[in-house]
Amino acid sequence: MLETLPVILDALANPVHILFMVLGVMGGIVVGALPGLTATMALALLLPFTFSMNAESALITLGGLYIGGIYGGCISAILINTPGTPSSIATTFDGYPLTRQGKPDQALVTAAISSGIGGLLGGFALLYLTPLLAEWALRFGPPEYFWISMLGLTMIASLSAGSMLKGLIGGAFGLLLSTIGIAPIGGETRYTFGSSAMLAGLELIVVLIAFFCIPEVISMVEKQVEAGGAAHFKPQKGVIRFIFNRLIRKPVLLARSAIIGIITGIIPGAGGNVASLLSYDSAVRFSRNRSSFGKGNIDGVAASECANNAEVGGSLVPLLSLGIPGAPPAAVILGALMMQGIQPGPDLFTGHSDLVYTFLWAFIVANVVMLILGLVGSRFVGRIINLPPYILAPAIAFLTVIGSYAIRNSLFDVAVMIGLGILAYFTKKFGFSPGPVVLGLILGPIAEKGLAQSILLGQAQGNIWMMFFSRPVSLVLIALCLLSLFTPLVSARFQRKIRQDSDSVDK
Amino acid sequence: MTRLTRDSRIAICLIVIALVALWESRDLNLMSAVFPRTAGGILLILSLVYLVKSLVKPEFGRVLDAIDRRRVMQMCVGLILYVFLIWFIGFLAASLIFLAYFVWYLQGAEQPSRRRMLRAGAASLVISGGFYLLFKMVFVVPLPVGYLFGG
Repeated sequence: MLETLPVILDALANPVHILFMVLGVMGGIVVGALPGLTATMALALLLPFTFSMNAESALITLGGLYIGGIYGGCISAILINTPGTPSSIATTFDGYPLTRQGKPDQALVTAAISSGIGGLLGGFALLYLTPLLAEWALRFGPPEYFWISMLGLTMIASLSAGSMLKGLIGGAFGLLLSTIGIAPIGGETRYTFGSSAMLAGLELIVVLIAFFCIPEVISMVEKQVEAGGAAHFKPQKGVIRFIFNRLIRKPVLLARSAIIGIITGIIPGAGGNVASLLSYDSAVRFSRNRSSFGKGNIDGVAASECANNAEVGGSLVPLLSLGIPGAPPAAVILGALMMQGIQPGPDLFTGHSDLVYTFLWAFIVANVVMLILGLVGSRFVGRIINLPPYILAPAIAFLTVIGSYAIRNSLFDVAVMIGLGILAYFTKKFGFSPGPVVLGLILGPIAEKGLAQSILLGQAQGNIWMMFFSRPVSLVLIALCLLSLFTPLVSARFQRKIRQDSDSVDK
Repeated sequence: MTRLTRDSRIAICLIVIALVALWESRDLNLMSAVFPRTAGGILLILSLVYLVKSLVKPEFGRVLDAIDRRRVMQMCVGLILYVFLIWFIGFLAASLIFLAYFVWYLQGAEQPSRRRMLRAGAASLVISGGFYLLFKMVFVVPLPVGYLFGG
């Protein structure tokens, strides 16, 4: 890498490249913040504009856009409880409660700092660990995908607000919703009831908007909106320093979240949403103050945002070293590379080392740009909640409609979003929190593909059970599943015992 | 005979959903059916547990009593009508009507009617017009023109 240093420095000091990078990050933040427009869509939209650019400029712009797009998703997640991109789903859990308490700036600053840290760690992992990690990622076969989705489903314990049984029912219902459409392995249509619009299944972001946003809009209306019961945001001085001081004392939380994000990113198909959910779950499990999660704990926001931005770097690892995109936005970057006549894969680092290392360092610098823009912007963006509720509620409803339409240009998706949203409002009233349903929907396709492919492989090898229970990585994942399932039970028992002991001492 | 609690009724609905899911998967090939049957089976078992729990330990809370049902119904019906209007008269016109009506309605009757109307009209024009231009011109999203206008 040292021999390419002059080229890297030359490229990064080029004002045009810096301008493209800043514009890319800004564009990504704007698109990511709009519900329905994902980072993938932002990259795909900008791809034609890079046709005329040289390879360096194109990759620097697209890298900035990718980073900005993933970060931008947190803005709407925090302010209006709607994940701008699926990656910011777990940011809603604590980000929106902070907004309701009139502290959106704290949530936005936390998101900016933790995204920056996660992005930087992901960038360095991309830079130094690419060949090593890519080889490891190839050990993931169908049974491992199945077990990793099972590991994700054990999170229901953390996401169930109140009743565990209702959380499990929600998870099973989400798994069932994920099976609508054409079966990924069997190829038959399921639960479409003759509708061609249902063939492609339910669009994840449509369901996210339905379950997280519509109930909030109806709740805003349900209360006396003119009474001014909504939160009011008054920018406070010293928020950046306050949050920075809090986060800097949590290196384990940030490192753990970044590692989860990087590993999830490297595994092709897992995605930023899985990364943010797994990271959030681990933050809850390892916290001494579990009950504060879901009520506006900044650790929840940090865990989610750090992981989903670290995932960006992780998702580029298999792309650059093997030519396999780790996530949909990485697939667009693959297209951009191929348009420039560059074939990602094992030879990339030898054949185009100048370009690759320039891109990797630009990727790291773009994370710093994103951090600065995020911190500066948080003071202004938070003011959105000061809009009167009689404007905010209809405006959010309008945004949900345009957002869910824009994904597939489908009015059917809008109808599904409204229908599920109204259902979600009432089910939430009856104690069914939306988290487990959405978790089931996200992990369902990964689990199904893993299960069906493993059964096929097992049948071919003559022993299905061995396929699931004999592979080393699978065994590690099974152990993690068991640990994840039984840790809350054991710790609850311990806490009960400690409480009983202290009660008896008091008496 | 005692009346079923809210939880029991929800549990019965869930059992019906699970049974329909299992029934619908009866003719699918193994690879297409294995996961829906697993998910449907789990949902059925959990719903049965929920039903038994609701019968053994019934809870009689009235969660919907605390809300302004009229407003909630207006919003729900308004959202459904909004989708229908988008299909019928197109995205821009439907959004103008939806936003104008709800901004006007949610301000409350105690506001002077002229100010209510002005705010509703301005908010509706700025929000729907601004986002319409952004999505249509910048992001090139083909927004629906409506059945009435040949869409």
